[in-house]
Formats: sequence, C-alpha cells, structure tokens
Amino acid sequence: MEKLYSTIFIVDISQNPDEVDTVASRIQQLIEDHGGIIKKIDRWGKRRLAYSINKRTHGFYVEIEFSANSRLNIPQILENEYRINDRVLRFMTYIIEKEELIQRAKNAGKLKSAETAESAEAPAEEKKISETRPPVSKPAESKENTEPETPKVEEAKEVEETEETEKKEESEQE
Amino acid sequence: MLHRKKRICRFCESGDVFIDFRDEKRLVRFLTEQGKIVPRRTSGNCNQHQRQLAQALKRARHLALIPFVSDIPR
Repeated sequence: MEKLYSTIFIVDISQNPDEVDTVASRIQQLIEDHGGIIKKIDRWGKRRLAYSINKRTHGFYVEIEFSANSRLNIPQILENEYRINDRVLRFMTYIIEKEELIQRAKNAGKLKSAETAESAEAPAEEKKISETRPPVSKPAESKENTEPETPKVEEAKEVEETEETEKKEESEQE
Repeated sequence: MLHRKKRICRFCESGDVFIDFRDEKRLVRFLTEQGKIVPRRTSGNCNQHQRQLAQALKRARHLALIPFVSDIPR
C-alpha cells in the first residue's frame, strides 16, 4: 500500500556545519534508490535541544516527506542508516495519517483567507513572503542567543570579583 | 482551594482534527512545571483530543522539542 511518510532527524553540527548537507543528501539518495518519492524537504534550522543529547545542546533539524509502498520497508532502511551514522543525534520516521493532511489543509485555508484579506491592500510581492514559513528566521535567533551568552557570564564574574574585593577591603579597614 | 477551570476542550473549540507535535509553544501549555502531561480533569480536553495530545507530546519529547523533566525542586 502506498503511504506517506515523514522522517525527521537532528544532525550534530558542533564540529562541522556542512554535515547537514552530506547527511540530508545521503538520506534523500537512500529513499530514492529504494523506490520512494520525495515530496518535501523542510530545514527547520539550528535549534536548542530541550535536553542534551550526547552532551550536545544544539542541533540542526531536517524533515523529509516522502511517499513509498509500505512493502519497500523504507523506515527500516533509514533506521539502519541513522544508527550507523554518528552525526545523527536523534531521528523519527512516522506515517502521516489523513487527519494530519486534513489539518494542514485547514491551516492553509485559514492562512489563505488571512492573506486574501491582506493582499487586497498589500501588493502581490509581499504575499509570497508571507507564504514562506517563519522557521527561516529561527537559526539567526538561536545564533544571536548563543553568542552573547559567554560575554555576559564573564561580566557577571567580573562583577562578583569586584564585589568580593570591595568586601575584603572593607573588612581590612575594619 | 483549587481554582476550577472551565471544562471546554480547546481543540474541539478550534475544530482541530490533528495536534501537531511541531509547534511546541502550543504543547507546553499542557505540561506541568515538571514537564508532566496535564491530566484531562485539569485541562478539560475531551478523550479523543487528550489521546492525540499525549501522542504529540511524546513525539515532541523524543525530538527534544519539549523536556522529559524540567525544574526538579531540590
């Protein structure tokens, strides 16, 4: 029976950010070689993990949607690959039920109705931008969050140190 | 005494058929501070949606979108 699958995996990019492309292309190739048809590739971007996996706090999420015959046993093939590949922190492959598709159509309908209301005022070019999903901005945000953290900590330490020295001086004066 | 919340299933209200595990912001509302799944008697969800929600929460946990446990008091 022909089924629609979705596979999501987290790539470790702490050592080499280019790993995402190599892993993603490898998975795509596996799916296509075994008779699956790729429908959609969605890169969620770099995200902070809710809990650390293999001592990593961040990971790059990639989602691939594909359709295949359930006899081809593609999820098993993918699992074998994921387990061998040590760049993959976590993976999940599941069958997309029709309820999810209905829900997506509903959400798209809601968005479209909102867009049509907007497009009556706004030019057509802006409509395309609003169609693209927001996750694109997420990696930039996470980078911003990660980078300024270290200097803040250092500052805090400095403040503590100065306070301590002041206290010492006071005690000495006494 | 505990404040009694309104017993209306949010998902039924909005007419949702499927609860997506990808938008963790929406899922977090159905977790306790420790990261446990809020029971139906508190959240007011209907049976169908509570089971869907549990599925979504577990998938999100596996993908490290929401924590298994958080804020453990010492």
